[in-house]
Amino acid sequence: MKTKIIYISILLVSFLIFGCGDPAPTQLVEAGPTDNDNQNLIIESIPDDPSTIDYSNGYDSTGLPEPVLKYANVVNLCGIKNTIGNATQYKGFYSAEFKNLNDTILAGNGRLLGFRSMYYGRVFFGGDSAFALPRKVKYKIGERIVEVPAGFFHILSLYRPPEMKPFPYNSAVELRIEPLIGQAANHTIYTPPEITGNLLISGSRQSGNLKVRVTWNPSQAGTTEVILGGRIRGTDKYYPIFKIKAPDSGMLKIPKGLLESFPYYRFDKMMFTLIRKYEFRNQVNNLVSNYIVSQSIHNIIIDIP
Amino acid sequence: MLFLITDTYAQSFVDGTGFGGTETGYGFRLHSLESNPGNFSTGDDWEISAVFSALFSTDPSTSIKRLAIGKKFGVHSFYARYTPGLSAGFVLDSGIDIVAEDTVLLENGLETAIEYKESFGFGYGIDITENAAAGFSFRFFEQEFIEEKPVGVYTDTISYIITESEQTKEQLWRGDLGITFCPVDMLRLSLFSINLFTAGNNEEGELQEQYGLKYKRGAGLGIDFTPEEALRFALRFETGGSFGAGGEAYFDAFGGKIGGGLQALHDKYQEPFIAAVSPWVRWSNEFMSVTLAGMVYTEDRTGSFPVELFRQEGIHNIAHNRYSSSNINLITNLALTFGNEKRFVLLDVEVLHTIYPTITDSYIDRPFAKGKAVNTSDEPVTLFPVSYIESINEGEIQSPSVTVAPGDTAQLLFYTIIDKRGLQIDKGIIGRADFYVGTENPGSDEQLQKPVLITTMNSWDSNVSHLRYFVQSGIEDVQPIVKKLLSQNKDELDTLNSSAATLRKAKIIFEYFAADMLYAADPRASSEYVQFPAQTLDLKGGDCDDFSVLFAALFESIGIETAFVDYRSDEQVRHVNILINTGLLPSEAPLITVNDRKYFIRKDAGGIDRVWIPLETTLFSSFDDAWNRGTEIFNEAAIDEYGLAKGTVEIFDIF
Repeated sequence: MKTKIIYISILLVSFLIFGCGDPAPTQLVEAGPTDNDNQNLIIESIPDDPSTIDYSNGYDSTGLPEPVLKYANVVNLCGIKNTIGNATQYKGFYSAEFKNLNDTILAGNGRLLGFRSMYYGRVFFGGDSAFALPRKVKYKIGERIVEVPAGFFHILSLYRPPEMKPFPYNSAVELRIEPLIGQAANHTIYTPPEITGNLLISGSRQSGNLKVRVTWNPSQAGTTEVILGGRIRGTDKYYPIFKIKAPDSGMLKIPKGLLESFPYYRFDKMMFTLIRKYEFRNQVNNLVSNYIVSQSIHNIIIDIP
Repeated sequence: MLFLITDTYAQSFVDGTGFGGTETGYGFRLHSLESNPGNFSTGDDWEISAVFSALFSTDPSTSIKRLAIGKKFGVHSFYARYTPGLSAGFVLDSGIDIVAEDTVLLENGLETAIEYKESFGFGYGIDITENAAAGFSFRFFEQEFIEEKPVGVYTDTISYIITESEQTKEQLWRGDLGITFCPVDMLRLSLFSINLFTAGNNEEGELQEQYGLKYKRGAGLGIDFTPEEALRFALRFETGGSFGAGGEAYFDAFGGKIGGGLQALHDKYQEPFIAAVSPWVRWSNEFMSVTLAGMVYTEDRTGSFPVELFRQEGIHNIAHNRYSSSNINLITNLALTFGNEKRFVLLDVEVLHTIYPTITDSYIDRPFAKGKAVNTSDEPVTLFPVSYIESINEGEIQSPSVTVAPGDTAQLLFYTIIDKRGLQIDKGIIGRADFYVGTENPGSDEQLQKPVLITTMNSWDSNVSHLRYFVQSGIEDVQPIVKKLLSQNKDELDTLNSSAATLRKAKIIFEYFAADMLYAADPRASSEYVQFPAQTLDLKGGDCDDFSVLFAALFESIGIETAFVDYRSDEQVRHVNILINTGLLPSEAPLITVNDRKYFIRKDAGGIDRVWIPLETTLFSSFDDAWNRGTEIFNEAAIDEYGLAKGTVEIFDIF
């Protein structure tokens, strides 16, 4: 018996000394195309600082988030659908602005709001001349909204009577710039396939089991952005809250945590914006620092479930 | 030679310890709960088991895989185990990154961590019959999901996204039944369920649904074939299609058993067809075994794995799945037979004598076998020798106990009692003698079996004193005849006084039965052959021992005390005749003869001196002739040649 006790003691001590590790967990990764809804997502919080920027054109109209500070010249081709209930409204426009990165617009506290743009010359989209309109940047000082002149921008709206031109999805638009000085420049801008989204909603916010699955017609062409925002109570203004970049696979499940933390108290409607875009940074003649984007946007507006 | 049972079950019933098994042939537990849900146990008392595991993966690690304790109470087996190392962890990259302002990466690859654990289990088994057992087991599992998820934080002035972890835990029990049946020694069959009972606090959730442990129901069949003591083959099948096959061999070495085996496993959820092989080596003795068992997966399992298959299949077995890495396990078993500890070893038993079945009482005070046992404990041990000879014993015969000091070797003497069946053996046989040696604690017996020669009922060991057994056995047969004879001479006998009656009766009996007798030598040369009195009467012939037995029985049947006289003065020729107690006191001797050389004074059974006369039982002409001849022989050998003093002449009383 003494011998046994010695054996037991040696074994137990040995095991306690050496048997203290935990195996590392096995790493599981996506090996390729998958039907998983939530792979390769990039979630971005959209700055929501109304004291700085009024999203006058960034969300529900142009789809172009403001400000695009990094580039001097911005060309935006945008086909938009707004779905509310069973009704869908179609919009579309082409725009261009040419900024002087040395001519800054500063707020009263010295913070950079943007750059003034200039009238560069005539701009044609698909052979049609765009209108040059004055551009403003809005910001808040306390509760007071201040508008600051910011130069000109060129715009050509579609779906306007009498022409009612549809946006040329999955096609190309010829950009022509005739500067005040110098040679005219032509550039072909390709447009993405039209995106058409749908929402699959189950559960409810009150029950804590709200699930939203966003589906769309996939093109496998790149990434799709889904922006979740809402309409501010008592206004017609829509604000984005966050943006999810997902593979253009046709399906995305909104992460549970984002739905749970969504600031419902601010809004009376929720808006899911699906964006498929082509982005270019080509040099056009002697224009450098260019950001050229063509995009299909589908805004789906629902009551808060 | 040691023989092991291995855990050859595939998939659900592979415990991941390399299938080295836990039975050592010394009575340790048969299997782990994975492969032995019926808790079949060959153990005797307490048992402690520990498994230490080293895992060879991308990140090698060590752990205590299992600590277990078992106890057997009679036919009831209990088992409990703690399995801190029986776990499997997985990390799934959710594929979600969190950025700020389009470019600044805040969180890269939110993860979901999943951990499966089997925390503990217990089992119960009962031996239904000597070759069948059944039982059940329950195992407790936990699965934990830790999901990192993006959460927005919104204020009036700023908004951002942070990461929060949500933890959910699920606990569940699995229960199974098993039955083991051994139709013959070399074959063991087992039938068991897979996930027969499952219960737990199943929480609803996508993660649980998608990644929770799978408990598909099924059944399994095990076949263990033992063509030789040191060689075994085992097969296990599951209804899902998984199976395992292996073999093992052992030999005596290093004070115990040493050997090993190899097993191949096919698992329907793993690639390739033979997903793993499991080699093992083991040394063991009667109370301890040490096993080094490996589990070698035939495909490379380092690095990361695609999540798609994991999502489709899930995990059916924590210890053995398509993500398991090769590992090596040190398995130790300690048999703590506190109550029935083997405290001695029976070294050998030697059969000393041929068994003569008629000599019934001979082995009561004369051991027919002797053994040697050594006390291997550190305390004195009292050993109880027991024997059983199938042909001549009605039951086990216990011989005197012996107390042995620690470390000492003692001699054990085995005595036996021959029952009446011995008197019916008419043909010599080689019988089987079973020898058991035990202590005060039941269940600690050692056992040996030896052949023993059992002669016919007429065989005699040439020891004249043993002729009395033939007399004693034959008295009942001749008594009616003698009484009838005496009744025919009643008138004459009635006229005699009591002092002369005994001699007269002896004369009547002798002369009546001797009249037809003829001397004939033993029919066998190999051993002495002695006829029972009834046989001699029937055959009307025999040799000196046959007639001595006959007349002794005839006289004793009516109360005439007799004794055998063994003459061994001539080493080549031995002789035996008888003495008759006349019942006369020494002072009454002249009533029968005045020749004082014709009688002898000798104590009777009551210790009183009486007059005895010698009688030569092979001389049939008359009683007086036989008396005279007997007197001559006795005087010459016993008196004149000092045979009684030298020991060449011995006298043996019948009773």
